[in-house]
Amino acid sequence: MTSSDEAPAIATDERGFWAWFDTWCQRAGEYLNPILVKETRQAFKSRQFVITFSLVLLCGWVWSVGGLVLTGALDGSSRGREMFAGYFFILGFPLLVMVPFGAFRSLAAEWEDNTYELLSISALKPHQIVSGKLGSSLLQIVLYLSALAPCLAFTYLLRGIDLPTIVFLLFWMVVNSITVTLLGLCLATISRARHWQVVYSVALIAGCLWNYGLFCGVLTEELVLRDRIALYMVDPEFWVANGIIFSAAVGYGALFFLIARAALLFPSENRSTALRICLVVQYLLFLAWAFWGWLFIDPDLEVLMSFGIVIGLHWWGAGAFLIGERPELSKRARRRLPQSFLGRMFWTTFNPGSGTGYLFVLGNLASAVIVLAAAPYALTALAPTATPRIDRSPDLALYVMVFLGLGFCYVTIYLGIGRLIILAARRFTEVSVQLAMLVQILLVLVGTLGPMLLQAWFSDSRGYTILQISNLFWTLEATFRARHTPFPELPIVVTVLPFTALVVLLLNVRSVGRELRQLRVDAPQRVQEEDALLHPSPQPEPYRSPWDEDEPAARLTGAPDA
Amino acid sequence: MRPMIQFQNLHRYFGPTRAVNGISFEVQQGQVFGYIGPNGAGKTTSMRILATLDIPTQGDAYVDGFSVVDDPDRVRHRLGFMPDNFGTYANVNVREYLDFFARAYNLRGRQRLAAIHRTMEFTQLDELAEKPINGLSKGMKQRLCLGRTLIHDPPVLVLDEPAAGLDPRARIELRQIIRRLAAEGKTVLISSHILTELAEMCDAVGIIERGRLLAVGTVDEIQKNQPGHNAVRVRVLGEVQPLLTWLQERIAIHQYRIDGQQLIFAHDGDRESEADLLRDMVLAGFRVVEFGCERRSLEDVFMQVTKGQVQ
Repeated sequence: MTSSDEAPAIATDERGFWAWFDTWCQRAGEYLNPILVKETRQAFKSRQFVITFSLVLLCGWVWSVGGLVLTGALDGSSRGREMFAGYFFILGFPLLVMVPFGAFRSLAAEWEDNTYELLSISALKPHQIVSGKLGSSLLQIVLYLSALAPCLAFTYLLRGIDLPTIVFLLFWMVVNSITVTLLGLCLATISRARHWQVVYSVALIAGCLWNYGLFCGVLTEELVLRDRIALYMVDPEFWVANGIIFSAAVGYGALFFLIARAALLFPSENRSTALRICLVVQYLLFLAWAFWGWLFIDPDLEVLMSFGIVIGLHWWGAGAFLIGERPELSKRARRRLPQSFLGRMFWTTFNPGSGTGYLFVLGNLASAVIVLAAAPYALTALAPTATPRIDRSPDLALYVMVFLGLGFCYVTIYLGIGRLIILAARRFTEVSVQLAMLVQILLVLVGTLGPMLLQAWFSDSRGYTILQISNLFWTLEATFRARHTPFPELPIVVTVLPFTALVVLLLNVRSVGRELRQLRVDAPQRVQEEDALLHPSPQPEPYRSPWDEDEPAARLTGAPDA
Repeated sequence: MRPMIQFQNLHRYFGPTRAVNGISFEVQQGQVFGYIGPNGAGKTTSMRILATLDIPTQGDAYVDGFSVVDDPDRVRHRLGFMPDNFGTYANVNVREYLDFFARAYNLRGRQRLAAIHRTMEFTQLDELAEKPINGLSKGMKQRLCLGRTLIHDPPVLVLDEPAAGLDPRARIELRQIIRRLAAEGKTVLISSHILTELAEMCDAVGIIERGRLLAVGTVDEIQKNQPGHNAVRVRVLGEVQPLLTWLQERIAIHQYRIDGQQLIFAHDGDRESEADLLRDMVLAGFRVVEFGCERRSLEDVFMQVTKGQVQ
């Protein structure tokens, strides 16, 4: 095996453009993701792709002929819109159903066929595996789009639909397809157990079909058939909404990608920091869009509370997973811990671990509460006349603060109790991140439904009573309406909840502190040896005085040779 | 000298089951190490840990000094793992399969083409290059899997039951391939149920049962360390019983068998003591017509060391 056999040379016929192009493609192919290359080879030979592709083409041709007859385009009227709607539905099925589900199956089949292990012990990194599968899906999207491109161009020629509308709708279909594909890849990696794979597979196909029907139905009905897109396109709110949806698609797409990557990483790797960075970026993006919309579209203080609800749900959902992480850091993860004072101050909560996760969520949520609560005051101070529509009554501002504060307390309490339960359970058994999420959901269900059932059985009252204090939805809803509807229990709620949150926080302090004290460790001797061998540090030049008349210096200065 | 493979107090528990329970041994560069044990003994689990497919509950394993837990990426560059059952891809031929894994190991351009060419030549898969994998026989698939294991030319090979399910010819060919790999200085950790084959090709063996390593060393060392490692066969003219009585007075015989005029018994001594015994027999008046000593086979040692317990 060690003998250096001569390899067959890459064909380099220098005659003609195609030979050059072929050589160039071969060279470019060297740098493509191996999974993309393999999947493309497989797809071109697979019956499934051939059948789907042929069906798309066939449907396109059938609709081209049938649509012309049915819509009456043959008599010369502008029927481009109706024709486009048909093509949009035809294209939507492979892009929104086949491609995402195909990506899910492709990755799930790696466990089922015992091929994932061979991939995982190769030099391929988890992000390469996921991006290879994604790349293969993108290629399919391009192929399906190119298959129907002549038909779509044909609708433009039929008149009734303009080019920006076609581009706009196709753009969103591609964005939707990529996001759902990433969700499919994420679901394929979350659990490798066969029964969970079946559950996810059914859920994904149902979700894809629902998404396909809703997306194609709403867009073609609203924007194409009713021809309202021209109205929308001049409305700034429409573009803000587009911006928000695009940010959400990119943000969640990135999150799904990172979750899939984290699930494929070796257990001793740091699986969490990248996810936490993504969560913060999502949060900041939402905050930026929300404030922009709030200031320029609807500067109502009550809107801030709904922003608070979205941000609270975001961090509660993230926290439910993060508190399920194992508290121990592997030696490998500890090699890259921040070392400087500032690094430790700002980056420690980005380290993996349930305690750092708890603190990370509370820190971000606290920042949201502060920003949202301070926003009206800041606006009043900075631009007192900028937004005359804003309701600046101190009464409302106080209610906003109370609402946000109570929301923060609930997240602190539920995540804190969930974390303590998981820590206790880990003494007896293995607790996965998914199980931690289930514990959190159960906890909230018990805290919400329990008092409701108790009240229904033992009390005649149908309104809010103090028994419902653990019911975060009812309590927050009552607080939300407190300005207009009497909420006599509010003083008790604002006393008990912060106190409980403080107690739960204090109960968690010790174990959280243990995680925060983790220090960086050096790489083992063997790793250092190899690193030194692979990347030798440049030897420092021996010090030479510029006054020494050695040979090079003499040449440089043009001094005559001795 | 740094061992190429090192298990250090390795444990792996699956709930109450202790699949691997405190294994420690080393394999030096260029050695072929046979890993033997009954089904469910913990061979595959410990091999999977070494191949960075699983992590130990306690302890660690090292490949060329790199921890499989803390530096799996560095281990993977040095190690080729052939699992006992492996999956193949649909709609892929032999060349494409090897090409994919060569790319997956970051081999580019001429280097990749050379690796594929070399591997196909070595595993004698050249003629099947364009054949779909699904159409290959079991033996050819095993060869292909070995080819995949060798594609990045790793110095350490971990082969889990490579001969399982192969016909005698394919088995012999596989053994020849492993011999050639060993001759090239590769370190090989191989598990197999065919102990005679392992005894022939291994420099050292480890016997594992219920997650514990029962014996480790060269085949000779293990044989010597077992009580009654030699089987002595004596044929005399006349009755055998007097010889047995004489022997029992002289040396402690625990395991013996009378087969006609032949007495077979276990003996722990070396060659000199066997020669002394023959001389004394003749001097005592026994008419010895045949005297032979046979080393116990690895199979015998295996049967003696293991108890056939499963967990």
